[in-house]
Amino acid sequence: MNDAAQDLAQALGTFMEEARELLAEMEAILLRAEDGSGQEDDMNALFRCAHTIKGSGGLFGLDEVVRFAHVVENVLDRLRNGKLQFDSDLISLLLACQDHIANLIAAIAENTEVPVARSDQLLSRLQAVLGTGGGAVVAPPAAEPHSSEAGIGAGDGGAMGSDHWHISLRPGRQVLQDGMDPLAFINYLSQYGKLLHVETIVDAVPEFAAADPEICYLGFEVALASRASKAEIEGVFDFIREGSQIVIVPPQSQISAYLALIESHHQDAERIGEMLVACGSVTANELAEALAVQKQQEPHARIGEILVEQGAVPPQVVEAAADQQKRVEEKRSGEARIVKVPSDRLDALIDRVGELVIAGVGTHLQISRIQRPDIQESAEVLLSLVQDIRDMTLRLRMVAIGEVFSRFPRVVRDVSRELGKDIELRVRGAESELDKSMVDKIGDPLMHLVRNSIDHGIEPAETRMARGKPARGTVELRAYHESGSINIEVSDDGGGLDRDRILRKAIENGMVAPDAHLSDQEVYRLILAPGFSTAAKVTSLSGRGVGMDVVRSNIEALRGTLDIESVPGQGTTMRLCLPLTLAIIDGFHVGVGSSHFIIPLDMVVECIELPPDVGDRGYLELREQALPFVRLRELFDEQGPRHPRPRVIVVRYGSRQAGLVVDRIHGKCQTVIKPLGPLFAETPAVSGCTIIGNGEVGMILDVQALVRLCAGAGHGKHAKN
Amino acid sequence: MSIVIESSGQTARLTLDGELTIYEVAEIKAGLADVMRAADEIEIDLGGIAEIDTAGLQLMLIAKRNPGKRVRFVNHPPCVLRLIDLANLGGLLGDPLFISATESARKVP
Repeated sequence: MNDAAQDLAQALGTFMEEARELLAEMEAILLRAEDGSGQEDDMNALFRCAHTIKGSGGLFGLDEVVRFAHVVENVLDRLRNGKLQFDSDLISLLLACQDHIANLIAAIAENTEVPVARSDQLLSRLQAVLGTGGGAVVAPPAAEPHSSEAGIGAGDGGAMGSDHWHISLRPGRQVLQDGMDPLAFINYLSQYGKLLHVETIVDAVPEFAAADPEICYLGFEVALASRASKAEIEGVFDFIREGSQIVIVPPQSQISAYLALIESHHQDAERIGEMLVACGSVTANELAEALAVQKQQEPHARIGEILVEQGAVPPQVVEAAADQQKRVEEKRSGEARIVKVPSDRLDALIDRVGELVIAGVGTHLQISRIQRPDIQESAEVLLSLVQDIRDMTLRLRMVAIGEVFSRFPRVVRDVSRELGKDIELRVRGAESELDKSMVDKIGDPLMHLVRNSIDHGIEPAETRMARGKPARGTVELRAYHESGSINIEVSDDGGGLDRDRILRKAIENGMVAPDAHLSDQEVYRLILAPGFSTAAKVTSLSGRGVGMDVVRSNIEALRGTLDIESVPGQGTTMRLCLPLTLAIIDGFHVGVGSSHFIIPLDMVVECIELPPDVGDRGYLELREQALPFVRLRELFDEQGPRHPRPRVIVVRYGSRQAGLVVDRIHGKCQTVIKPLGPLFAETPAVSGCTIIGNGEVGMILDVQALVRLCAGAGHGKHAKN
Repeated sequence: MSIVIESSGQTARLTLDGELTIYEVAEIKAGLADVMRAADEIEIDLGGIAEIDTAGLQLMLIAKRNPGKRVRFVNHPPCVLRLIDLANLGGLLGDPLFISATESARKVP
């Protein structure tokens, strides 16, 4: 029982994931349609998305999803058939529906109350579009009955006496719930010819107490005299094909075709035989003979082969079938290329690899002390393999940032509409990769930045025209890698930040002394402070002064930074700089007194000796540039033995450099980042700790904080904290 | 959709009004179940049925599959007759049917 429940939970998880992908696809198609850049197959794809969600939702008994998706599907079906045309209102409505399906699924996933009222509201709007009160049965495609020679008289020699089509239909159990009416389809067949005989198979109908009246238990065997082609007849059943079993045997077919039909219902072969006889498709004698012959034949002769061999099936049917098989196979092989692994297993692996790295470095250190070149050599090989494994393991967690970016076209569309601005979103570098855990966390901060750009950044169209800019504003999302980190920029070509207004507001709020001299950068950073807003008016989107500080703290929690560049009248760029991974880095191991420190290697520029004549100035001259520095010994109040000639490690963060004065340099080492407990939360300039090769604990320096500390000191201003 | 139930002793009479489609079958089945608990002989008057679909027809079959109970449909309106005829279930539903002349003309020879 438990296993079954677990299986179900797992299957449900897969469904949720699949539904999310499908919804994302729907959104992308709808947005394309709005741009007018729709593709040929879009309408079908759109319909399939809704259809699949509904179908799988039904499997899990998610009634509200099915009920809602069903009507959406009806609308999409009309679109697909050209009975409805897209306009921007309809696109907005469908986008709202797509959101609502996502909400329904989320509500189910989180076990919260399903927003039924919203469903009803949207459903009534959909019904208005459909122009029907009940959202009832979808009419089969209204194709003119064509007469066609194809499929008729196809078999030479050995043809059976029957001169009518035989259609065997076993609708899927869900068809009724899907709003399909099997008998309506059968009735519709009479458009193509004459219904000679219908047999309803009621064997599967359970007794009253056990029956669910919304499940279809019925099957149908139909004899149809028609000159329509097989494709036309198949077309009638397009809507219920999924999940249903439909066999269509053309007139004059050889007995093997009927045998195939019987075989396909192997569980009740005898019954089908009777039905065929009842329909007049086969005579009782023929059936008995054929079954006898079949028994003599190889038991597993493939029906398809027999059919083709004997020319029983028109060639285009075979082609279509082969095509479909090929598609199924392509889909399968696509699935095979991707293995889905629960993320906790991946995390456990990364954790272990971390331990492996630590143990490897420790072993390597010990081996390097003994004078055995052969052992040392094999230890080197081992270490480099461990490094490879480390890199590969970390890459397992890497996903393209496009996953995050993909939701923005919609956001930009909605927000710019709401504000009545015309804005184009450009996305660059969507293929840049970063850690999956980070992808999950940067979505919200990015969203906020993009909304800010649209709301505050881009000016109203009239202002833009007056400034000689195109009326259409541009917001650009750009991601690129730079020295062990990923930069994500949100830029706009709007009015830029108003330095004076920010400063005035900050002085009003008492955040800055009235006589303070601040660099542009420092002024811009003021907008990241809690409760700061210069927006003249508060919109529903932004301007309340909450947000930017939340953005900043979110980003800092990821060991990232937020830089702001702004050119008045030309636009603003917000640059997020995030480390590529949160787990393992290449570190630069230094010592101060008896303590060990690790500096992320990517940030180290060079190592120099501390000139003896610097005194207490706090900066030194490096290639005719002033370089602010900080003595780690003083910063961490280190008492251990001094080194007569201290070194300076020049580190860089963003565009700024700073020097860190240390006693000893141990060199490069692999560093597994271990979080510090809350006890150390107040410790400045340390972002984590690690275990170094000799088993001692090393502190990982927060270079960003140190650089800022130095820069602050360089300006003669007290650093915050 | 409305269901009117009159009962006298072991016989109950149900009068269905409105539509007998996938949208109503669950409700009607629940109503039937109540009636069947109390009565052994049930007569269902379909006279007020304006629309029926496969699910409705199937519900008629399901109602009949109830050991120990006798379920009888009466007063079939044309739409129900048409569907029974299409599905060729007249024999199975086993109630006296009146097939109109136009209906029988449409019937396959």
